[in-house]
Amino acid sequence: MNVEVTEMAAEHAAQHEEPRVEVTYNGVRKKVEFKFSETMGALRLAAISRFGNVPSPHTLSLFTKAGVEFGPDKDQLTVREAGIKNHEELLLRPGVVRGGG
Amino acid sequence: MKVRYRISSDLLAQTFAFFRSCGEGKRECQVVWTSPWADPDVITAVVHPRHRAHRGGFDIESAWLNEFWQELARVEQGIRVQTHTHPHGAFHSKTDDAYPMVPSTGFLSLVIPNFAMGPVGFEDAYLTELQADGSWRQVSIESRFEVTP
Repeated sequence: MNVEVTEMAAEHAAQHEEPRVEVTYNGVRKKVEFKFSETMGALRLAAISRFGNVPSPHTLSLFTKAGVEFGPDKDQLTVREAGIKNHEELLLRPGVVRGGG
Repeated sequence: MKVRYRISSDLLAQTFAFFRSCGEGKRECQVVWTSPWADPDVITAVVHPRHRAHRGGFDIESAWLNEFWQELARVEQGIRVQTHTHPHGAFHSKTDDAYPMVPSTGFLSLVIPNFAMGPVGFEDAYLTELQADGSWRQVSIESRFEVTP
């Protein structure tokens, strides 16, 4: 098969593939598709829905591996404004973990 | 289906050892019990998070959580139970209710009384489970944990 044609086909497929991030929650990784124009709130809720029943979604934030948090207070940002990249790895976890009696 | 986790007596002793060395009988402390996703019923590790203890309880360090989340994925393990101490009686406070490490339905939270300075085991301990409506409900310890030699 013609190598050049194969490469062009791969590039075409990549251009038309939905962007996606890889989200980790409690040791499990899942891919979540998104659009750069949608909000971080939509991406956050889409990620949460991939991990089953989470009764208090407002407690979960998306974090970059470097520790930048996108919680409910950043829900209005677009994914583009947030600087999230295609294929980026994100962590879905509570913004705050504490206890005390 | 409710899981009955198996934890070895060594890991249970390690849990109390963390509480006693970190809390010194005067501060609250937390550990989490993890197991492989391939065999979730058998607890294989006790993890002691970096945290700050204060008069009202403790806060887990955010940077540590980021590192731990990545480590869990790398080793394909999940957190099954969070366990922490209280100064006196064991119960779930409003703070405990609101800020668990894994806010998923079915997640278990175990509270050990008296800063874990009593005998190693579940005497006077309190176990609660996160429900689908976001509330917590006490469940019997015997129904969820089996301590193995």
